[in-house]
Amino acid sequence: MLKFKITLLLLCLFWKVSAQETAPPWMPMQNCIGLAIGLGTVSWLDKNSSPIDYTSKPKHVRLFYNLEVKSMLFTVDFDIKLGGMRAKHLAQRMVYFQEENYKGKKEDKKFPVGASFLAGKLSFGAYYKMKQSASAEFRVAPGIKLSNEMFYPQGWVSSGLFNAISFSPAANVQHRIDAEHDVTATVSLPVATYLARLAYHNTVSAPNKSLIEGFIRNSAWAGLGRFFSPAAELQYHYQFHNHIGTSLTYGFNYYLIEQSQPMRATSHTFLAGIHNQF
Amino acid sequence: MNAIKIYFKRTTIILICCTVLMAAHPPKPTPTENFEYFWKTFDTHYGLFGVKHVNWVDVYNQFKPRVHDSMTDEALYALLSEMITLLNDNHLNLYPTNGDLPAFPGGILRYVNGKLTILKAQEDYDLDVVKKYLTNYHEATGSVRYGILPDNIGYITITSHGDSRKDIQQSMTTILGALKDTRGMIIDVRGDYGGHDAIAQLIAGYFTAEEKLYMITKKKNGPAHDDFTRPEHWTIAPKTKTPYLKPTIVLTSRFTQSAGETFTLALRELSHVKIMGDTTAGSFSDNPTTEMPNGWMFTVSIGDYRDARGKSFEGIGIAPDEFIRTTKEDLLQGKDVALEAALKKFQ
Repeated sequence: MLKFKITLLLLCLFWKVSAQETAPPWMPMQNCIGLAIGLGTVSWLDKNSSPIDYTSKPKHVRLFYNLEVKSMLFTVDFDIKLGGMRAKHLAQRMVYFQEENYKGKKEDKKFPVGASFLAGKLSFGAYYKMKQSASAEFRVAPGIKLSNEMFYPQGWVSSGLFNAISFSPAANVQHRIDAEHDVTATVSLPVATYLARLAYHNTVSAPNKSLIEGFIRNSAWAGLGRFFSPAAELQYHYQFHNHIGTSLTYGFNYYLIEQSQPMRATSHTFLAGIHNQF
Repeated sequence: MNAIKIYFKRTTIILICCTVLMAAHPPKPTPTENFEYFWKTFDTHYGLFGVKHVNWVDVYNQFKPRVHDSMTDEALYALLSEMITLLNDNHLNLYPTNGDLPAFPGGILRYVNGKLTILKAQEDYDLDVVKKYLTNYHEATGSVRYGILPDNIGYITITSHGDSRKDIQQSMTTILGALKDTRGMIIDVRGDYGGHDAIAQLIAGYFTAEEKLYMITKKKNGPAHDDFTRPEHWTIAPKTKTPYLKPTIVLTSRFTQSAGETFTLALRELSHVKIMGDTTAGSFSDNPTTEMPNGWMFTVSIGDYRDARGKSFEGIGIAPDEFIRTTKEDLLQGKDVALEAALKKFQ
C-alpha cells in the first residue's frame, strides 16, 4: 500500500512538473464565448425633440465571442440595454386627462410620464496582434470594428432615437499580470457612419412605408464631424479554471451627433461576465 | 504670496462647487423662458402658418406683454392654450405635467347654439349602438371591426390606424372575403381618431382597382416658415386582385381626424364611394410631441397636407357629399340616424 501511495505521489509530482513545463506560452490564445450582465447609466440631450436632459439606468446583457488565431483576434459582441427613462432634472411628471362621454360620464385619469429605453449594439472586431517577444507583458493589437448601434427610447417624445452603422479604427491592448490575471483596454472611434436620425420635423410617416422604413430612409453617411462617438472599455479578467474565466468590465461611450439638430449622450456600463475558454 | 495661493485655492473650490451644484440642479425655468421656447418652437416647426394665414409675430406681440415671471402655472397654461386656439388646429395639444392641470385637447370645434365650441365628448357615434344593427360582428384587429347590416350591406368600422401592415393585410383579406357577397358597404370612420397615414393608405388600397393620387404632403425641414421638404405624392393603389368595388358609403363625423381624414381623402377619389355624415375635424398633418424646459409637453403640426388638387382642408375638414348627423338624444334612444340614412341609400 505504501509503495502504491509513493508511486501515486511521484506520479502527481511528475504530472505537476510536466504541467509546469507545458504551461501555456505567453500570450496564450484566448478563444472564448461568454455572457456578461450588468448595469449602466445613459444620459442624453437631443435638441431635435426636446430641451430636456434624459437619463436611464438600463440593465445590460452582453453575449461575446472571441476567436484568436496566430496573428489575429476576432471579436463578436452583442449588447442589449433595457430600462426605464426619465427627465434628469424634473420630479415625477404626471399628465392628467379629463374624459367625458355623451352619457355624461366623466372620468379623471392621471398617468406618470413614463418611458422605456432600449439600446442594442452588434459589433464585429478584427485586430492584428503585433509581434512581441516571448517574455512581453503587453499585447498590442490595432484593428477595425464594424458595428450597428441602435438607441430606441420609447416615450411621449422621441428624444435620442438613432441607428448607426459605423466603421471604426480600434485598438486592443492587453496587459498580462500573471497566468491567471490580465487587464485589457479597448478603444474605438467611428470614422464613417451610416446614420439614421429623425428628420428636422421629427416624424417618420411616408407613403407605403412602415414606421421603421420611414425612419431608416432618413439615413446619410456621416464622418467625424457629424457622428463623433469615441468608446473605451477596460476589462479585468481572472482565469480561475482551465476553461472558465470571469471578467469585470467598465465601458464608456460618448456621442455627439450633428444630424438634424444636435444630440449628445454619455454612457457608462459596468459588467460582470463569465466565459468558457476553449 | 501665501495669501494669493489661499485666495486662488478658495476661488477654485467655490467655482468647482458652483459648477457641480448647477450641473446637479439647474435653475428652474421661468414662465418667460417657457413661453419663449413654446412660441419659438411653433415659429420654427409649425407647418401651417401659410394655410391658416396667421402672423405668428403678431401673436407674440399680443401675448408676450401678459407673460411675467411671477405668473402661476394655471395662468401660463391658460395663456398658452388661448394662444394655440388661435391656430384652430385640433392637432395641437398641451400637456402640463404637474398633475393638477388637465391636458388641453386642441379642440374639435363645432357651432353649438351659434357659438364656436370645443367638443369634449363625441356625441354622434357609439359602437355599442351600431352593434344593434349588425349581425356576424367580428373584431379583426383592436381597431378594425366588421359585420353585416340589414339588406346584406357590409359594415367596417375603423377607430384608429395603429395596427401593423401585416395585421392589416391579413385582416383586410379576411374581411373582404367575409363581405364579398354583400350588396354594398358602409365604412364607418366617425370614431376614427387617426394613427399612421401609411396604414390608412394600405386599407384604402382594398377598395380600388386603379392607382390614383389622393394627397400631397410636405413637412418642415428648417426654421423659416417656408422651409419644407420636397412634396410627397400619396396614391391609392390596388392591394388585392379582388378589391371591393360595389357602392360604398363612408360615414364621417367631426371626430374623424388625422389619419382618419387622410383615409377619407383617399376614398373620396373613388367613383363608387360617397361620403355621408358630418364634416371631418380638419387636422391632417403629423403632430409630433415636444417639450418645454419646465417639462410640459405639447404637439406641433409640422406638415402641409393637401388633396390631389392642392387644396388644404386644415382647420376646415372634409365636407360630406350628404350631411347627416346622429344626435346625442338619438344615441341615448339606441338609434343611429346617420347609419340608417346611409342604409336607405342602398334601397
